[in-house]
Order: sequence, then structure tokens, then C-alpha cells
Amino acid sequence: MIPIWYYAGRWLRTNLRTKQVPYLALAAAFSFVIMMFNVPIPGGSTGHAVGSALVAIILGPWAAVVTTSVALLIQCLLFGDGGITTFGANCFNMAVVIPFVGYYTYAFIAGKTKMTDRRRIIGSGVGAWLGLTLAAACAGFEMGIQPIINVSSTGVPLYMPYPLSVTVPAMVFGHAFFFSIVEVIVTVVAFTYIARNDPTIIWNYKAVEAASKPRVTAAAA
Amino acid sequence: MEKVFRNLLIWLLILVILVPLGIIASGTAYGEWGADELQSLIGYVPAGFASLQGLYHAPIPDYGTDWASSFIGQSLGYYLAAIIGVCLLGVLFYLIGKELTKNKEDNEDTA
Repeated sequence: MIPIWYYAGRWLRTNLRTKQVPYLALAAAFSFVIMMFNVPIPGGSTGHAVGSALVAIILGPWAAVVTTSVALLIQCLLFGDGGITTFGANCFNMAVVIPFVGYYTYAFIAGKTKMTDRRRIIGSGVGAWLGLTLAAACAGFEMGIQPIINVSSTGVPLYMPYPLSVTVPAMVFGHAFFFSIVEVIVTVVAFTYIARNDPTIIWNYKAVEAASKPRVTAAAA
Repeated sequence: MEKVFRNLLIWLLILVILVPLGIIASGTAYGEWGADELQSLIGYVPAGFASLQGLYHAPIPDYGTDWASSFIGQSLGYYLAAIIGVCLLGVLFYLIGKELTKNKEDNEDTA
């Protein structure tokens, strides 16, 4: 994670605009609060949305790496949530997988449409769903390989006891049908609001605007 | 204050106000079990896991919900945790953002 954080910091230094500063602060605070909304699911377990797909679409995936990582750091240092020993894995899943899968899914679906196009709204929703669901699958994978890579000399798991065949479906189910839906709602509502009311906040609005202009043909010129 | 920013800030405040909804669900997130939960789930506490217990003690464990047993008491703790987290991150990133953009005048072109 360290080279990723380093690059993300450099990216933010180069690309952050003065106008975006209050939104960066808002994004970090939002990441923290949205993760406090634990949603119950059948079976007695709980989970939460993360909000980093939204931050990735608005401020750029590298900015989301930074805001989500620091929100996770505050969670674990101050509130004992997530844990020190799992901090790296948590950051990879929630501060890298979600922003990049979320943003590039959104960008792929959006294509060269205008910022207010319906395809962008759909893209933001699909991106949010896929980002969080894939992140959950990654977390399930990381848990499931523990009894393979970390066992005592007598074969007893040292940390996480459940195998891949249990952890991956458990994580994917809870997210795909519940927490990722929350992520979709939050992302679509906020993205639509920002795109319609002040698209200049969005990190790549100029590129989106330029790409969505109708092509001037030689004949028309 | 810009209208869009003000409205987003209001939404954030509404989320903070609603935050006690987050403690109604009492179960532990998948894979986030503590030693006592692992004991009841699988009948033992994995040795490596046990050896890491007590490595770090957070100043406000469980987001301030374990100091009281009533829902209202726990909500107050949770509110406190939400306010601390929001203010800390908001101020921190505002300062970071100011620092990163201080030598930029009108940098709309970098978009």
C-alpha cells in the first residue's frame, strides 16, 4: 500500500483545484459517517457502504484513495474498528478496489456522453455496486486464504478459521444484495445532484465536456 | 458559501443526525469477530489471533457505544464518535487541501 499512498499524494498535489478543497474535506468526513451506518442482514451479520465510489467519480480515484485511507486510519486508531493488523488489507479493498473499479466502470458506461447524461447516472450506480461487491470478494478471498497460509504446526488455523468456500460467498452475498445497494443509492443521488448543479466540482469535467462536444465535420466547417 | 457545497453539507449533517440507526443492527460484520465471538463460533480462539490481542487499545473503543447499555446512552456515545470523526477529517483535509493548493492561483486548467 505504501507506493500507492505515495503516488496518490503526488496526484492530489498536482491535480487538486482550489475550488475542490472544501469538497475534499466533505468527502473525507462523508466516508467516515457512511461507514457508521451498519445495516443488518438475514443471518445476524451486519455491514456497511463505504462511499468511495462516489468520491472517486467526483474528485478522482486517487483522491478517493487518500480520503478513504485516512478515514479508515481514524476508525482504527481512535475507535478500535477495522484493526491495526488488517489496516493494509482494508485500505486495499475499500480505498483502492472500490474507487478504481467504481470509477472505470462508470467511465466505461458513460463513454463520451455529457456530464448530465443518463448513461453517467447509470454508470455511477453500476460502478458503485460492482466496486463494493468486488471489494467484498477481495476481503472474502483474503480471509479464506488464512487457513491455507497461516496454520500452526499441528494444522490449526492461527487467525481466520474459515476456508475460501465459506468466506467468499458470505462476503459477496451480504454486499451484493444489501450493502452495495446502499452504496448505489448514495452514489447515484449525490452524483446526479452535483452533475446537474455544479459539474465544475468534478475533477475531469473539462475532459468530459471536450469529449462530449459534437464533432465538427470538414463540410460543416 | 456556494449553494451546492451548503446543500451537500446539510446532507452530511442529516447523516450525522441519523447515525444512531447504525447501532440498531447488533450483529458483528462478517470476519470482524472478537476473541469471545470466535470462541462461540468455532470453539477455540486461534493462537495467532490470541497473541495479537492487546497489541493496541483504542481511546474510544466501539465508537463510544459500550459505556452505556440503553439505546439512548449508546446513541449519545455514537453521536460523539461521529462528531469527532467528521470534525477531525473535515479539518484535516481542509488544511491538507489548502496546503496543496496554496501556490495555485487559478488552476481550473489542470482539469
